[in-house]
Parts: sequence; C-alpha cells; structure tokens
Amino acid sequence: MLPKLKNKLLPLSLAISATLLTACGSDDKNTAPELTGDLMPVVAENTLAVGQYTATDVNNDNITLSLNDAANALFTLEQSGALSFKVAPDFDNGDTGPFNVTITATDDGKGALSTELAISITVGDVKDTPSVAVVQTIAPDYSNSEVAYLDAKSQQVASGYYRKDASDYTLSSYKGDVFHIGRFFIDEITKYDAIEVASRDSAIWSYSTNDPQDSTRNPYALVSLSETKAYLLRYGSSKVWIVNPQASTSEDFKIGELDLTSYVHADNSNSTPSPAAAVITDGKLYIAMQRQDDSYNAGTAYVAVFDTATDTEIETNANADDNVKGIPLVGVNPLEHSLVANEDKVFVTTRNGYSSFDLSLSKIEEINTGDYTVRQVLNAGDIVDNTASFIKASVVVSPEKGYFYASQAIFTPTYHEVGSLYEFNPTTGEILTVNVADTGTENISFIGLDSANFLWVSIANPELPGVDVIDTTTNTMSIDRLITTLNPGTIRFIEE
Amino acid sequence: MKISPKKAMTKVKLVTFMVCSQLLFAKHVLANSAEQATDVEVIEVVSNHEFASSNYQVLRREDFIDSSQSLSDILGQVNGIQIRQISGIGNPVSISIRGSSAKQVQFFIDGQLVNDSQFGSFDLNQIPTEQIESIEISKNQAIGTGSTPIGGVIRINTYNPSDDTNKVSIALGSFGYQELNVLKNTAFKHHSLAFGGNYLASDNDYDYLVPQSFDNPSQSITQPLRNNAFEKISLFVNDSAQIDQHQLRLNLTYNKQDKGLANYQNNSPENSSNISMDSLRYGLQYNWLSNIEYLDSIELEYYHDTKDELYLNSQNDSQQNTNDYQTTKQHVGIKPSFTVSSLTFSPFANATQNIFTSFSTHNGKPNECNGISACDIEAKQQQLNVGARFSWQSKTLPLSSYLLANQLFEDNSNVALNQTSPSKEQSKEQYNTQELGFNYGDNKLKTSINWSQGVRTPTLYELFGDRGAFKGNDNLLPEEAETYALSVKYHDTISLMSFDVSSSVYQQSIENSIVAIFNSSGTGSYTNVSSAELLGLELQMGSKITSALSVSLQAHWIDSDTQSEYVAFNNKKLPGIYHQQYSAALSYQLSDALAIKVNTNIDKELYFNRSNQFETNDEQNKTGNPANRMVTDLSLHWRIKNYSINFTCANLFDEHYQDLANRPAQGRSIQLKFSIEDI
Repeated sequence: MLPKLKNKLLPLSLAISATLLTACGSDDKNTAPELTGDLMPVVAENTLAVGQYTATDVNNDNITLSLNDAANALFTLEQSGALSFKVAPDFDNGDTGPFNVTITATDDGKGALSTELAISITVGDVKDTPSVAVVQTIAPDYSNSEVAYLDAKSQQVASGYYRKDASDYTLSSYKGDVFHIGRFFIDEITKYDAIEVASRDSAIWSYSTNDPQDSTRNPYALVSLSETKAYLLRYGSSKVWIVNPQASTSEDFKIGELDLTSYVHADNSNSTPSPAAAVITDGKLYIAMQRQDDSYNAGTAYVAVFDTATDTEIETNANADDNVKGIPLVGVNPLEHSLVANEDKVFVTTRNGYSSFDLSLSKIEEINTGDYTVRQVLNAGDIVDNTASFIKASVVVSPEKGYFYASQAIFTPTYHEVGSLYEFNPTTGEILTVNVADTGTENISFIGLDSANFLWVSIANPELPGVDVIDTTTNTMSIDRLITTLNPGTIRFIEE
Repeated sequence: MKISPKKAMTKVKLVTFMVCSQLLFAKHVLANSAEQATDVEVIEVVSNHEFASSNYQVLRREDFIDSSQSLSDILGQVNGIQIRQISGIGNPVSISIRGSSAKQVQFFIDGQLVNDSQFGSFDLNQIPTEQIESIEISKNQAIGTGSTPIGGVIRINTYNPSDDTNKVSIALGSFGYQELNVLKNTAFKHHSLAFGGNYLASDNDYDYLVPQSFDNPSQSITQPLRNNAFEKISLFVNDSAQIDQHQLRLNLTYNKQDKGLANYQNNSPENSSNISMDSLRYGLQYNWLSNIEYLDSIELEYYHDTKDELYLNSQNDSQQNTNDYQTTKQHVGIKPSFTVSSLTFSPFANATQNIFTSFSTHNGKPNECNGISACDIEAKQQQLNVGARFSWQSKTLPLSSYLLANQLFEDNSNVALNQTSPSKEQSKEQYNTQELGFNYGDNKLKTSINWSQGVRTPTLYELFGDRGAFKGNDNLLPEEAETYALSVKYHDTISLMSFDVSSSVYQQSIENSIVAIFNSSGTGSYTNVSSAELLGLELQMGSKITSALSVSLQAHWIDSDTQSEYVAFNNKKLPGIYHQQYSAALSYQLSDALAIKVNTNIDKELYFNRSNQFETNDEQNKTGNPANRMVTDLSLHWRIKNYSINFTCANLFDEHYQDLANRPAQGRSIQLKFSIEDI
C-alpha cells in the first residue's frame, strides 16, 4: 500500500512547492544587476580617469562594484562607478596597454547575483617629451661649421655631421627631413633623412640655389608646405623659389617663383628687398622683408602674403597709401626667424636698424590673419631698466604665453653680446618673467619651440656652448645643457 | 729733460735730413769729376751680419739667381720655413717660420720693415729675384737690432754688385707666364750705380673645378679660371758710394701691379673684380766709419714708402664697389757701434710713422659710416724703438755671445673720417723684448744656444676694427712668445766628400694669440683667445758626394698644442702649418754646361682651422684627416759663357692638394728662362 501513497504524495509535494514558489516569484524573485560602460576606452597618458561605469538592478537591490584581483593593483573603482588608474600611465615609458579589467557588480538580493563586464583599456600618446632636434653649430672664428643631433630624452649629443670648411650654413626641416643650406657664395641646399640614424650621413640630393648666369643669392631658409612643395627664401634676391623637395633631379627641383620686386628699396642696387623670414599658416605664406638700402640701412619693413594654392600675392589692403599689396610694419628690420604663427595670428619680431639706439622700433607685432591688421604687442622699451637690448626673436606657445629674447652689445673686456629670455603674454603684451631659466649672462643665438612646447635655446658662449631645453610649464631647464663643440645657432625639430 | 717720443723722432728726422742733404750734394760734385770705371773701390755699405747663430743663415745671389724661382719658392726650400699660397702668380703668400703665423714674421728690405701696420701683412714676392743680392733668414730672433719677433726675420738686401754688370733675361711659362728682366750695374771709382726693371705677367688660367658653373649651377665642371690675370712692372735704382770714411747707399723702387680676382664659386665671365697697386719706396743709408778709438761706425738710415691699393669688387655690371687704401710710411734710425776689447756695443734708436687711409664707394657713392658698413678711416701708428746689442767674442776660445734688448713705444690712433661726429680712438703701449745667445765651436763643430722673448704687437685693424660691423678691442694684448733653441752644426770632409749636418731643437710658449671672433649677429672683433706650446726639431744634411753630385736631406717636426677657454680651440693643433716636413734634393752636374736638380717635398699633418675639423666626403671616415701633400720639382740648368737657359717643372707629378685658401692648387707648371749677361 506504501508505494501507492508515495506516488500520491509526490505529486502533492510538487503541487505544494509550486504553489509556494509561485507565491514567492511574484514578490521574491532576484535578478542580477546590469552593468554598462565603455568596453574599450582609450586613456590619454598622464591622466588617471578611465571612464564611468553604471550598474543598475531591477530589484533595486544595493550593488557592490568590484574589480578582479589583477586589476586591483593598477586601478581604483569607486562605488560610483568611476574607474581610474592608481598611477597615471606614461606612454613613453611603455605604459601603453591593453589593460584587461573585469568589473563585477553584485547585488545584495537573494542569492547575491552578480554581473561581470570585461573591458580592455589602452593608453594614448600625448606629446610631452622634447623632440629630437638638429642644430647648426659654427666655429667662433667663422672658419668652419658642423651639425649636431640632439636627443633631450637620452641627453645625447651626436656631432660631426655635415662638416664644412665654411661657416655660413643654416638648417630647415620638414617632418623627418633635414635641409642643410649653404648661403653666401655657397648657394647650395642638401637634403638628409633624419629619422633613421644610420642614414643621417648620406645626402639624398644636393642642388644649387642659383639660376644660370646669376651671382650668389644667399639662400636663407626653406619653408615647407608639404612634402612636395616648399618655398626657398633667398636673402640676396627678389625671387623666392618654389621647389619640390621630392625632386630627383636638379631640373625638377625648382618649379616656380614668387616675385618680391615691388618691395625693393629705391636705393638698393642689388635688387633685393632682403627677405629674411617666412612662415606658412592656414594655407598662406607670410614673408618678412628688411628692405635695406645699399648702406644696410633698413627701410619700412613689409610682410607679403601669398596664397599657397595659387602662388599669387594677396592684396591685404593694409595700407591704402602704398602701392604694394603687403603689410607694412611699424617695427624695423625683421631678422631671420622673425615670423611665428599661432592660431589665427602671425607674430613678427623686429630688431630695429643695426646702428640705431631707438628701442621703440624693436617690437613684437601681431598680424591678424583674418583682416591683416597689425597691432603692437610690446617693444624693447617695455623691458624694465632696458637701455640697450634689442628684441631678436620670439615664439608663441598660446594666446597667453610666449617667449622672446633680447640682446645687447658689451664692449668690455672684449666685444661680445649678452641675451636674456623673457616670458610674455601675446594678447596683453605684458612681460611676465625676466631672465627665464637664469639667462642674462650669455649670448643667445636662437630660440625654438618643439611640438611638446619645450623651449630650446642656443647658447653661443664659446666657453660653454650648448643648447638649453626649458620646460615652459615651469620655466626651468628640464635637463642639463646639451654641450656642443662649436657655437650653436639654428635649431630644427625632427617630427615623425 | 724728458723728450716725448714724437718730438724726439722729429728731431732725429731733421738732423738726418740735413746731414744727408749735405752728403748728397757732395756726392753729386764728386760724381761729375773724372772717374775711372776700372779703378773700383770695394763697396760694402750694408753691414755683413755675422751673427754666428744656427738660427741665422744667408742665401747668396749665386745660390738662386739662375733658377726660375720667386722669392717664396726660394724660402720654401729652407728648413723650418713653410710657404703656402693661394694658387696663381700675384696672389697672397703666407710664410711661417718654425710654426709661426705670417704676421709674426718681420720682412725687411734693405733694413726697412715692410710689414703693413694696418693689416700686418706683406707681399713676399714684391721684389723680383733679379733685384736681390742676398737673403738673410733669422728664426725666432731679430737680425742685428730692433724688436725681437716671434717667428723670425726675412731680410732682403737689394742688388749691390761691385763690378760692371749687364743682364737681360726672358722667361715664358705655363698659364701665360711671361717675364722680362733688365739689369745694369756700372761701377765707378767711388760709387756703383745699378738700375733695372722687371715685367711680369701671367694669365693664371689654370684648370679649376668650378663648384657651380656659370651657365649651369647644377654642374661642377673643370674650366680655365677667368679674371685671374696678373701684371706687374717693377723698376729700381741703387746707388752705393764710398768716399774715404763715408759710405752712402740710396735705393729706390717703384712697383705697379694689377691682379684680377677670380670668382671661385661660379667662374663668372661677368666678374671684373680687381686689385691694383702702386708703390714707391726710397731709402738712404749712411755709414760713417770712424777712426776714433772705440767708436767703429755710426749708421744713419731713412726710408719713405707710399702705397696706393685700389680694390674693385664687381661681380657684374650693376655692382661697382671700391676700396681705396693709401699707406705712407717713414722711418729714420741711428746706430753707432763701439768696440772695447772683445766687446761690441751697438745702441740704436729708430722711429717709424705709418699712416693708413681708406675711402670706399658703392656704385660711385661714398659709403655711409653707420656702424655696419666699414667707415672711411685714417689710422696712424708711431713707433719708437730704443735698445742696444752687446756682442762678445772670446780671444782665446771659440766662444761668443750676444744680448739684444729693445723697448718699443707705440702710439696708435684711428679716426672715422665720414662719421657725422668723427671720433678718434687712441692707444699707447710699450713693449720690451730680449734675446740672449751663446755660440761655441769652430768651423767643424759649432753649438749654439739661444733664448728670446719676442712680441707681435696688434695691428691697427686688430685694435680699431673697421669702425663698422667689425669692432675694435681696446684691451687687446700683444702676442708674446718665449723661445729656447739649441742647435748643433757639424762640417767635415772625408776623402773628397764634404758634408754638413745640423740639427736644431726649439721650444716655444706663445700667449695671447689674436684671433677674429664673431658673434651670432655677425659682428666681430679681434680677441686674445689662446696660448700654445710648440716643440720642434729640425734636421738637415747636405753633402757634396762628388764634384758633380750633391745631396741634401731635411726634416722638420713640430708638435703643437693650443690651450683656450674656448671649447672649440682647446687642446688642438695650430692651424695653417704642416706639422711634419721632409725634403730630399739631388743636384747633378751632367756636364760642364748642364746641371739637373730634383727635389721632393713631403708635407704632412696640416690643420685648416683652429677647431681641427675637416670637411670630407669620405663616408668611411667622417672625421677626416689632416691634409698632406707630396710635391716634386725638376730643374735643368744649362750655361755656356754668358748665356744660360733654365727649365723648371714645378709639381712634376701634378699632385693634387689644397692651397692656402683651401682650394685645389693649380697643378703642374713649367717655365723656361733665358738669360744673357755682360752683353
């Protein structure tokens, strides 16, 4: 008789259980939390925050978030769902990822159900270390020269490149290409590949910068628009060459000309307006001209503007009274390296005439690239207690931060020059810091800003020649001086 | 009573002038009296400097006159002397004695210091060899009297024969070389009159690798060099007279020359740049031979020199820049000589005034004096040398010694003439120099030891610049050097073979080397930048192996080290000199009439610049090597009676090396010279 009862009991227990369960499910059933968020975040190096992760629970249970054990060593997960690095990753030190992290959301409902979210974190590079640079160095007696490659990260100086038995050389660069330019009565430009260390020694090509049957035109700089188009500024000529840096023959190198003849000073029998500097921004080429006469007196300085798409000069209408298209400046004598661009502005630095003592005409002026209006940012007379220092060049980091250096001649014990570095506000013209990084006792010959906004300063002190690299966030030297053998001058940066 | 140097000089000039005037008048009267050309008194106005030092040697006329060589070629064969030049006749020549720079060498012609006070330079080849009687060479020491130089002294004694001589010579050679010499000397009873002329021309159109050819700058092609011609006329008159105790010598030289300046970058046919020069130099030396006890003689001298250089820079028709430099130099001196027993005492005093003026134009307009362009200037230098030389000769031993002390007073000034408010800059300095030497030995073996403290005073250009972008330096110190030298000479004859062996070792410490230094803005000035230590060894051997065959071997080593606070110049070798030199010369008399000479020079370890860096295209050796060269010259000389023919082939194997301007030297050249004497 028992088995029959058993059979009859089981179905009854099942029925009772089902009834009980049904009663619970409508009010007591637990569901695991849901977890959402970016599954493959990319985090900028030197930052902590990874992302925000959200956990929800349909049962309104309390949720506890946690990380897997391995991730706990590197990451912090707030209960708010904010995930962050414990230590900011440094891309340049190899903290690139991917970092695999599992976030678990566990509720406190019946059964403590949980959900996992697997995410993969990678770190993105931000340019925060100084670039590799190349510097032209010159013997103090102007008898010879050489080029050195500078690696600020490893603090290495590799010298002995492009040695010449003459000194009138300078450098230009575009991405990984370096152009070694021989100037007065040399008239030659040579291209090198600077990315591969092993190939830095071998010239890719070398071309003359003279037209047939012409005399020396003193090439000053090569300003690149792209890999296949650049402008060769020639200080001794009113013709700017348009060149193709990818040309494999000299016949294909020069592809056109820009004409600056209208700017030649009336008393300049060499037919040159002395174009000294150029910069390209927003598809336009800006060329600063000293406009010297035969006695090297600088006339009214002008900036000519060319459309790089059509290579035609743009009528700026900056001055209704003159008969040229360019922009007249108030400052006099823009030197080499006197043009820099930042956002929608072009900044021009002028030294004033070499024989003048008037500080007010040594200026930094700003050209508005929208309407070509010019305003003074500051002049050398704004430097407190300055009586004899003239502004040589400037760089602009942002609308609020820029640097310039001013130099003065000292006649004792022997003739030499001493330069000081200043921080200024390009918008207001206020000089913020004097003698940045303890400058003010040595000769400065060049300043340049790399893509990480480190300021490189060439110190042409023959007793301790070298390049200082200054962190513009702190205005202090980021490393010890990179020592060269000869006096350093123009610096260019190698950017891949 | 203390007299200022200026007044003292004026007085001396006046007295000398009056004395010389009287003597010239007397000479003129005597010359018109009947004289017999055959009855000639021996004339030796210029002292015979027997300084018995191994640092000193004399080359006589007969040693070099029959060759086709220039003065620089002759000096380049002397051990310890280096000659480097910019290729082409008429271009600058640099001389170095025992590692010195060219400015550290004093160049005298008949006792007159030729060194330019403005730039410190001198034209070594300004005197044709036909006009030279002898060449005195002194290393690290003065010749006779005066301030002690750092490098040494080259002194040219102009033509001064005692016999009647007539000579014509013609030479032709490579690259359009032409030369004509005419020389005549007439010996009278009391005086000898020599005059002559030299015409020299060369196209200098040797083949040159043009870096960027004019018609196609993309091509480097070899072309004959354009606008590099040279032409020169040189006239001279020398008159030497001796009447009783009076010796008088007058010399007068006039030079006119033109040199084209090539465009070495593109060899442009439009280039007409040129430098022309006119100079007139005359001098008077009077020697009174005393019969007063202890007083041997009194020597008076006066020189006057004017030079006008016009430099034209014209690369094309639209450019005509000129620089006109005029230099006037006057010199007067007195030197009595006393002998007491074995001691000779020669006090001396001489005064020199140099005036340099410049005038520059650009396309016909005078240059502006605006602090950038070079200003028109008048620079003046007045020097007074006062000193004494003591010589002592032992009467019992083959021992002699000498001591020379000199005080130099210098007054320099510079005025920018075309400045709005001309300002005058001035500097006054005093320098003293000394030398001491001992010699021991006879004709077979002679040993010398010498010490000298020499100086090279800054030139006017180094002191004041060009008043434009090249600045002056008020604090410029003179270059100073202390030198020790020990030398040994041995002469002997074994069988019929005579030979000479000599060696010299020297050590020199130089301070305050003056170098042009430039700032990043391109302005410059001369600055004392370094000191240097030199250690040198000269070895030479000459032997007359047979009556027909002579051999000469030479070697010269220099070890140099510069010290400087300038990183680029510290622990470097001196630039511009070969640190090793070897030469071998062979002369063989093929017959009574015909002789052949071959000499080979090997020069090694030349550094072109103070940084000791080299431009090189050698991918295997990026640092490059010091420059070397090996040059062989051949000459054939044929002489019969009054006729001689000389054939020279310089750089026989066409060796390629860099010249003074660090450009390829001109290569092989030949020259043929035909001479007739006693026409």
